[in-house]
Amino acid sequence: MKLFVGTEKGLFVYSTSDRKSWTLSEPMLAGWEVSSVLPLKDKWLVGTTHYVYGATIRQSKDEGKSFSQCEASPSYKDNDFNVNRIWQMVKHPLTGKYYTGVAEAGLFESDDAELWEEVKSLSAHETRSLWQPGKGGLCLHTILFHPTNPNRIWLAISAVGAFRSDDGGKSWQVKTKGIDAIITDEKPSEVGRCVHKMVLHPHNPEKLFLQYHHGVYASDNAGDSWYKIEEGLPSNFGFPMAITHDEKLFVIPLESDGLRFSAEGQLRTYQFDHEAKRWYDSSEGLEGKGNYGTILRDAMTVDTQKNPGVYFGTTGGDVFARIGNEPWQRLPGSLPRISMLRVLES
Amino acid sequence: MPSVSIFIPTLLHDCTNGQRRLRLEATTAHDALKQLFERYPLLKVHLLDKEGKLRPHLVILSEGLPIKPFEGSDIPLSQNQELHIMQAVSGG
Repeated sequence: MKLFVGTEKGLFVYSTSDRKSWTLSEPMLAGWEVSSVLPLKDKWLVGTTHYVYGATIRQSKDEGKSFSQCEASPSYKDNDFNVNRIWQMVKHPLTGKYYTGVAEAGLFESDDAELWEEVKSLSAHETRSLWQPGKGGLCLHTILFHPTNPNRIWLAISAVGAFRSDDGGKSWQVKTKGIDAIITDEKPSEVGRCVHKMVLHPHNPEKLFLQYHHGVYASDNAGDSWYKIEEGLPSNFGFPMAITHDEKLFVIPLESDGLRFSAEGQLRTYQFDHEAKRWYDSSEGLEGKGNYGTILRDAMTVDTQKNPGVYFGTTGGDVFARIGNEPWQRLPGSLPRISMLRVLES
Repeated sequence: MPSVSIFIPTLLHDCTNGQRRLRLEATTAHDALKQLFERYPLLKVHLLDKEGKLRPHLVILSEGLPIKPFEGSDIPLSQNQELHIMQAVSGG
């Protein structure tokens, strides 16, 4: 198994055969910010971003020995938007089509991951003129697929909201009912909801969860409405959220919008008790007090092993793994600021 | 026609098949860069914005001085002249 770590200064890959002993690679694509990775068996797709050279997609077909740029990376053609960052790359498990979410917020699709086309139905959405960026930019950071219905797709955009398509991306409905609006000087609307990360229940596609700017929410009707699930959390502010195939749902609370470091100065994960509908501390193995780091929205992921692993990386460059119910372990190395994590299982 | 060299930033060598120095024949800087993009089209997205102007924080140097061939101030080239595409840096 490999664990891909995208950082501000390149891509690093951990390899393991037992999830106990980890080997860290040399940096790949050194100098690029690696903002997204889609690792596949036959190729690795990597979203590379640079403040001078812009955002493009590169790929490797030799496990990182060499990379080449895609023939036509995502690029807006008929509007004033720019592609500033590759936020998310996924492959539809039913159709095989590739999707990329970018900042400025938009969705691109491809049949071969080489030639990317804008999904204009989203760019031309009736609410588009109301979309505003958050601190991390106007980013489309989450793309989720219904496990059996290829026409149902969810998106999350910060600081805009959650969207759902029921026709394979031809049209999109805003799905923010029940989510508190961010207070601005703009007229209230159904958008203006700063969703930080959203996940789909592994076995019930009616259930979704999201980490919001001011809250943690769940939906029991595929996003039609949302309600808060915050009991037990030291703070309702945070960025990443991840769920395993055995329904373990995790968040990592930060102090607040204004103080974006570990809540109460402690690096802690919280796991949701679906029966009791409350969160409990699941931090065994993590360092105690005196931690003021941050974990970014894509810097937590899971594997699909029988005893699933959960992984996260910090802006301080530390990577942690939790296998099943064992305590968290810190992986070797000290990396640049970590943007994202993804797993490739053999 | 003068034979000139263009030097490519390290991060973009995967767009030029690994070459850091490219030789071509051109009479002006604009012509040289146009040929560069025809030969290596993947460079274009990294160096030019949507309007076809040089991206911010990039500079093209000729004999140590910045030139702006995409902004209407082209220069003639002479034999063995070198153009360096550089990433501007600041701070410390």
